[in-house]
Amino acid sequence: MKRELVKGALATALAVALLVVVLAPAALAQQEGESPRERVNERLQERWDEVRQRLELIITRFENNKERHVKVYNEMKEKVQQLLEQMKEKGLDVSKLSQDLAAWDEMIKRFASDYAALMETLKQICELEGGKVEEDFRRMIQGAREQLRKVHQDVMEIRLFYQKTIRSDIQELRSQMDGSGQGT
Amino acid sequence: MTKESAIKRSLSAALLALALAAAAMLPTSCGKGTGEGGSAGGEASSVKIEIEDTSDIDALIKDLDSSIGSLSDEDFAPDQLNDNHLGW
Repeated sequence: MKRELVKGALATALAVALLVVVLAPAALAQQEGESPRERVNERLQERWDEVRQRLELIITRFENNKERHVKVYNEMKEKVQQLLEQMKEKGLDVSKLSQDLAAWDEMIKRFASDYAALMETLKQICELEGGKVEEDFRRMIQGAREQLRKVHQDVMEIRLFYQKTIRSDIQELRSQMDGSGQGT
Repeated sequence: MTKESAIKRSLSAALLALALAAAAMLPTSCGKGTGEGGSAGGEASSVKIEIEDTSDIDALIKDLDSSIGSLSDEDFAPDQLNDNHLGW
């Protein structure tokens, strides 16, 4: 009889221990008010906050670079414009350089426009929130990458146009000046 | 004219000059472009060049070369938006 009582007590204790092991994590989670899904969302949010911070740093860097590029382009344009006007006053043929300057101006405007589109997309990405952040981010960052490729291409074209076209047309004006006896 | 009135007149002139300077600065500070929406933006440069002979053109070419050389295409390198840069 005593032995059976001990057996019964042991079985009850084992059953209670099992219940505690099985139910404790769920009870703890319930106590914290978080479901596994919520914990996943929380981790996703933390990760997204880090990505957003990095993106904001990239935006700041782009803004500084863009300001620097535009400032240099504008100064260069103004110098070439002044050269053109002074050469025209001397009676030299400035038609090529005049066309170059107009084409270059269009390129710089295209750069500014493509850059503005890129910034708009990046700022929209920074404002993403909610459960579809990852999906929306994946979709929108593809567009931003494409826009950045265009901006990069614009910057290369502006540089190459100066190096291959404007520079040689300025040198041609120099030859004209030399040939007309105004070079000394 | 007393010394006091002379001081007052000088102060008024100084205030007027300040007010005129402030008014002259207003259009430039409010109208500064940012380059958004397709405009290249930027402030108008006050650079002045004088071309008297070919050596001035040589100097100008050198200056323009240096300006364009100060900019890098890599400032807008496409890989800056790659996953490894963003940490996603």
